[in-house]
Amino acid sequence: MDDMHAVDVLLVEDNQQDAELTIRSLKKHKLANNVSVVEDGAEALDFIFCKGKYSERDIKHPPKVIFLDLKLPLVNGLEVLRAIKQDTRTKSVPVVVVTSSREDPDVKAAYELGANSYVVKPVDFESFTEAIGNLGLYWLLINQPPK
Amino acid sequence: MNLRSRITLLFVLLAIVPVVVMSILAYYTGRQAVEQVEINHLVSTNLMKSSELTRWIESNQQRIEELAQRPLMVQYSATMATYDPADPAYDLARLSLEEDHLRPRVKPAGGFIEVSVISPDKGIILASSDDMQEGKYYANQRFFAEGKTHTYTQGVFYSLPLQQTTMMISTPISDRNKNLVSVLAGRLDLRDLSSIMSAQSGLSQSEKTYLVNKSNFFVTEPLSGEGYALKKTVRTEGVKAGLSGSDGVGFYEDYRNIPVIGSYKWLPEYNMCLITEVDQAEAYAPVNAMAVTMLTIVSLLTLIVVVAGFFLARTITQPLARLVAGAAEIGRSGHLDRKIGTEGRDEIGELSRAFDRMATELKVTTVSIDELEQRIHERTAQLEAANRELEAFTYSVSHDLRAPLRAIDGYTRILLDDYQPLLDEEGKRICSVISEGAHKMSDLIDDLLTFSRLGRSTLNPSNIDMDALAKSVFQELTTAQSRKRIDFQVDSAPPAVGDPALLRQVWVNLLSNSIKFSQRKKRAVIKVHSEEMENETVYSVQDNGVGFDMQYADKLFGVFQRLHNVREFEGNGVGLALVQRVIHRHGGRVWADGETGKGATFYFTLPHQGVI
Repeated sequence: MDDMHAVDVLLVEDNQQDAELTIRSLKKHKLANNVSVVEDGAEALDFIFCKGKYSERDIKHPPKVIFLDLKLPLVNGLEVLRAIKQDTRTKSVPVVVVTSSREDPDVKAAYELGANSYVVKPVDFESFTEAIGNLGLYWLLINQPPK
Repeated sequence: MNLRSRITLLFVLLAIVPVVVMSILAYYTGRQAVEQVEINHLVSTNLMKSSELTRWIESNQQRIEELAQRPLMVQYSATMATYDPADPAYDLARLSLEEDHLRPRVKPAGGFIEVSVISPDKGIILASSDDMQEGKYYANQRFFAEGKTHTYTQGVFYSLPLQQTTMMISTPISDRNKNLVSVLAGRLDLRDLSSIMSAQSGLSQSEKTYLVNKSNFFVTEPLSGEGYALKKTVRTEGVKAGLSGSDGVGFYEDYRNIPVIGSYKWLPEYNMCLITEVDQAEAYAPVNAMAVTMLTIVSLLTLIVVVAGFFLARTITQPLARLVAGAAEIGRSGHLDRKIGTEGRDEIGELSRAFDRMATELKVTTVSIDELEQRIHERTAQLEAANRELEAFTYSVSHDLRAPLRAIDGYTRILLDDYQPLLDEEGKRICSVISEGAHKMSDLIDDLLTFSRLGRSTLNPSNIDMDALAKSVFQELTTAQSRKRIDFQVDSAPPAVGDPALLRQVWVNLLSNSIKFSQRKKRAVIKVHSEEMENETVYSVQDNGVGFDMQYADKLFGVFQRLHNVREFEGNGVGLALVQRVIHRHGGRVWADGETGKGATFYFTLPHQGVI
């Protein structure tokens, strides 16, 4: 139970390979101690708002950062983002939108909804590792969340 | 003024003006004729009256003369003139004279008021038809003095003894030896003269003839029985002219202050003026009656013409008004079904039918325009849908094609990292080929996306310093090292209007091509040139690289078209297609010129008026 409370990174990613590569990148930078992965938007909302199978979680202990893909099954990334940013309990949680394409028409919408970052996942693995590592370092170690 | 009023007015003018002009002419001609007739009549009346006057006097003179020549008259007169009144023969002579000779000459049988025998020496009346006159003296009278020698007529004068106007005719009574025995004098009755003068010709009611003496007194009554004679003076223009001794005709006001036409004639032998006048009102009466008739006719004619003109104008203007209303309605509502529908066989009817035909034709045209618009609308909607689909497709491509590529590259790296001891050199080489393939595919996706984005994104035109842009792009594409090998020349290129980011991409693609294809030259030469034409500027990039075969020139700008092997020159065949797309979107053209082994020149144009 303690593990579930002490989540550092919530990775919302439907592509399992991308999820694995992300976790591996974080591990490489020794940042993968408390990473949770959810595969669709609905599960993400359950996790964040402690409902359904995550009802035992305490909403007072949100993830330190959420890596959010926009293209998700069931509930899409923008909806998840809106829910997080509209709820006073969760709106201070940093959300990094991580997507495959810079063509995404939702970039602007994402920023308007309060995304803290928008990152395009590089195809090149080294670049990818570096990008994820930088994100992890920044949001988990450098960034100071509000008390 | 509208058409109907104008047509009506025209009718009125055409019909009325000649009638009015002719009426006025007829009136004045008639008036002149009447005047002439009247003047002739007056002059002839005057002549006639003056001759009647003369005849009247002459006949009375003859009567007096005839009386004076009677032997008994001579005898008795002599008796009376020589014998004493006490002598019985005297009385007998007097009685005989009076009864047998003098009285029969007095009215009503004769023409005189009084006829007297006057003694030649003393001027005493010896015998008279009027007993009251006997014994009176006429010695101072002119007719007495004149009458001693010849027959004399004394004009009208006022007789103090008689207290009345009178006129005397005197003549000598002589014996056989021509010795004066006495003077015979007869007093004329001026009422006879008045009745002669006032006797009318019957041609007009207001006509009057009268005599006026030197002292401006009426001698005869202007109109019978008014008591004017020698009691009232008259000083009208006609009288003045007549008394001044002239004959003529005048238009003036008579003694009653009524306008008349007057004819005046001076009678020197009687020292009188003969005046004949007729009232202008009566003289002009026929002309005035004619004028009234004409005025009535003109008025009626005007009324008829106005009414006729109005209705005739209506037959013209009503179809026109319908035409105007129809045209206005079509203009307002665009209802081309609206028909004027006239039955008229005239030009206006023809015009109306032509208008209807025009509306019908227009309707056909308009309908086809509507259809075209509808089609354009549908096409646009289809294109927009296609565009949206393309966008979605592009997004899917960029998103979904990248994920597996990332997996390929990522897992290849994991394989290399985690299973390094198990892989020999060939295994590692294969892994790097897989990675390389993934990278190339990723680049290809990026280029394709850029290319497709160009077709959709809106242009943001601004003024661009093409000269500086070309130079800056060249700097970015080259290193200090490579610049030593390349001779880069830029003529001062004129500024252009266009999307800076896109035109920058054009320079990037063209200059990178030139650099790439001239990289094997020991000394590469790249020239940027420009030329201003009438409506556009032609920019060109020339190099001395490998060039190309002109028979493939049309393939240069196609997507994924490559004229060189990838092993020779890297690239994916999107660059020039992208250049063409950008330039076309700016309203310009692209083409190329080259020869294998001798280099190539790429041209593009930008219109002067900027981006449309």
